[in-house]
Amino acid sequence: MFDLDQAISDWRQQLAAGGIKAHEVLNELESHLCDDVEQEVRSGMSVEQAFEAATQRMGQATVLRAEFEKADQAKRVRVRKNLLGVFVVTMGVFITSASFGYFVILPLALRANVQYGAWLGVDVPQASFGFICFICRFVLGMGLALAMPVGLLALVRIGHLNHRKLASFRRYIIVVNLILGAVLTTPEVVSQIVMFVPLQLLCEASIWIASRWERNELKHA
Amino acid sequence: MLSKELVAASAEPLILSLLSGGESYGYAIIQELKARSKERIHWTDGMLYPVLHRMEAEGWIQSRWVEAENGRRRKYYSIKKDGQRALAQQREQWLTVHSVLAGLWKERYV
Repeated sequence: MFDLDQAISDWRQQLAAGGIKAHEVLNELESHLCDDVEQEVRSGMSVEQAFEAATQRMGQATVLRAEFEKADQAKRVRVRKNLLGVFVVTMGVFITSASFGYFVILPLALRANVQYGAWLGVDVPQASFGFICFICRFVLGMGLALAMPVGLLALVRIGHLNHRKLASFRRYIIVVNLILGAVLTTPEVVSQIVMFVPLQLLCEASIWIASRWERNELKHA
Repeated sequence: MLSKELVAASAEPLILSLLSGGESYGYAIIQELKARSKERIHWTDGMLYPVLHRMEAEGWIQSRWVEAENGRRRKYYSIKKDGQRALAQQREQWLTVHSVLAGLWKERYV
């Protein structure tokens, strides 16, 4: 006696062995198969014949898997596009809000502080403001600079950069890091170099990690 | 019977056109296409689903699972605004090909 449920279960296992492993896809194909079998039985076929005909019409697992992989590729491309958009917007919002805070809000707050001090008859030393601005600039700049390698790796992960491109940008990265070292620290060479070295090391680490990822992907391909 | 290449090329506009008339599920889409083409358009049934999934990834259609009265669950697809736009573009392209061919064949065979 033909057991339709068992036959469907076996057929699902064959599809899974052929590379179609997603439950949702298997459920959808099973739903189609059941509709097809039901229709054929209604038109006079035996359940076994109907099942054989329906599985033949469904196609071979290997061919289907290749087509589903193409569909997955389209999904990945879309996700990458969306991620790049999110990344650019996030960076834009961060830089804009940090600049607004530093160039607009901070000077206003410091000036208000002086006036408030004058009201109360307390002397607020002007020299300390320069120091506060330096600290803010330093902390923000360090945050941004140390986040840059993470950003570069995020771009590698979503497919917009690879380690060769990163390596080809090395000379520009060196210049940018030297400028950051000069702008973010006190104006002398030692602190500039002390700042530049870890920044450059982090960028080199990003290039190395990117090349490791690519090698691993090639191994698994 | 249509060639495989033509069937593959026409899959997207056919599905979008069917879904623009209302939501539907895989088996019903294939049956309707068979009926409308008088069985001249032949798809391997399973090949419909990668196309549907790709179109969903493009943002042209969306899907939801619905439980039928007999308890069987079916995945229904419906067209989205981007899908309507894609259909309008594809319709224009197919009509262009159709009008050029029609013009050429009219000159040749009439």
